[in-house]
Amino acid sequence: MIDPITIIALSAISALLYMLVGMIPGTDETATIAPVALALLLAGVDPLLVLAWFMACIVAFKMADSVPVALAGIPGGVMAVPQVPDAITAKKEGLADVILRKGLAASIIGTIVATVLVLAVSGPLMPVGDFLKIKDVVLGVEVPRWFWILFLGTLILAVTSQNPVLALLTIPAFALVIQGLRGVYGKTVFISFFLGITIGPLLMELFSVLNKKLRKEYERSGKMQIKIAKTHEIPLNPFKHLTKEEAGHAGVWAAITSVLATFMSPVGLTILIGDLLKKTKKDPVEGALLAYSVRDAIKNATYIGGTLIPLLVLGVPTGPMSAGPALPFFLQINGQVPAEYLLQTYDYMTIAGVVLLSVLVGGLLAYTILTKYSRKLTLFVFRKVPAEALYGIFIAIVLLLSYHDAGIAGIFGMLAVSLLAGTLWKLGVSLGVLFMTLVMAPILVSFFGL
Amino acid sequence: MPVEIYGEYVELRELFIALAITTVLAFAGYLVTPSLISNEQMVKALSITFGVLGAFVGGIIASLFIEPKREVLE
Repeated sequence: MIDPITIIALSAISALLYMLVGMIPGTDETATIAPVALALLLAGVDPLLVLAWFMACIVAFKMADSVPVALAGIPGGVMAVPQVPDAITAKKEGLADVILRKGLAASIIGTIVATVLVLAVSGPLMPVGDFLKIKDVVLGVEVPRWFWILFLGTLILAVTSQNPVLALLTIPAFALVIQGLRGVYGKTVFISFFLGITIGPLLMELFSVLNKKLRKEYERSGKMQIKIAKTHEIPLNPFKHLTKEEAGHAGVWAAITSVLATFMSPVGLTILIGDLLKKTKKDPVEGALLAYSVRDAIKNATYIGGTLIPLLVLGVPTGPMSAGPALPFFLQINGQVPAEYLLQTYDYMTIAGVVLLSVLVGGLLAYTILTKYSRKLTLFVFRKVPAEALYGIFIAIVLLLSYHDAGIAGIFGMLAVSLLAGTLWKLGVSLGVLFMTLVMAPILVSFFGL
Repeated sequence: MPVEIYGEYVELRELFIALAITTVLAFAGYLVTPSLISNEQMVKALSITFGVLGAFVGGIIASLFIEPKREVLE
């Protein structure tokens, strides 16, 4: 019998720990959570306890990884990357700590909506997933139906870019660059390309400054002035930090994406829906705040849905989440697959109760702490941490992960992708088009019939 | 004279010093891990973690002698 006090204590400790890990730029959950889950399972810890630990971790982690984004424009993990442009827009308006709290509030809403929904209706919703997973043969290529959702979304992102013609031409061209590099590497690397696109604008400006003639444009005198609006008491009620529209979108999209994440890429969904919502706003600041908040809700929702539906309903890893950070649950460990053990040993209500408890404890704890200290954290970073150190950390991590992906070649491949992304960005192609093309590249390229 | 890169003012010379420290420590952490741990599966995961920690420590060191070029107005 699993004791609720144990679950609460376990969830609280792991949430606190992974809240800190989540805030460190560049830490990735596949690298920091999956190996520990594997170690715990190998050590013979009951899979239900490991699941409770895991859920509390991902909830706290996903909530915390946008903290450095809001404060410094640097993502705390891969999933927070799409929020970078939104946060930079907000920072220029003196809204850094406001956007930070909006993200946290949307995160807790997304977490609760997704958990309750997934636990309650994941079974009945399965036919939708089955339908979208069916592969049709189109122009001689086997294409899963969910591909068309991503493809349509990318086309919309392209035609609403500042430079629609170039953005449309970019889709097949960039897909070829990605698949070409993967061919040379001899493996399907993802993270170094993903980060390469992310630092494209940063590298573009950095290399422009190295050109003496271009440098004039970037020179500034004195210090940069950052406004931070005065706040008195910071309320804990998440609905006080969000407009009705932001809260509504956060809830609705959390529900939809938690189910879609069973087989679709959480990063892809976060980019796609955030960017599309941003385009519905005429005012760029309003658009950035809405996109940032909804992305935060989607991050948590996709991780929860992407773990629980494959684990509790399907029993096999079906998507990037279950085949990534949550994979240890589907491996043969000590002669038993933890996912099967869970369903054979415990009834559904026990599992659902434990999951709900750990998610609530982990989520509410991280939310309360991060919201309470959001302003102090913001002021501390702005006053004490130089941009040079933050950029240094970020670029060093990108170099390291590129090297990890494909050695020295991986570093230059990342540089090539990054410079291409930076140039396209400067010419008015939204980075979302590049991110989505990266996700779809293998299928896109197969249409060339090579 | 500072330049504005990616929405922040930075001094190029200081940026390159910071980048050198973080990169060296990141790769040091990454490359030294296999000699500390024997289990192959854990090495794969932990080498990145130690590499990232190296970069992070490098960032803290850089923060000690580089002054932020920001003025916070409340």
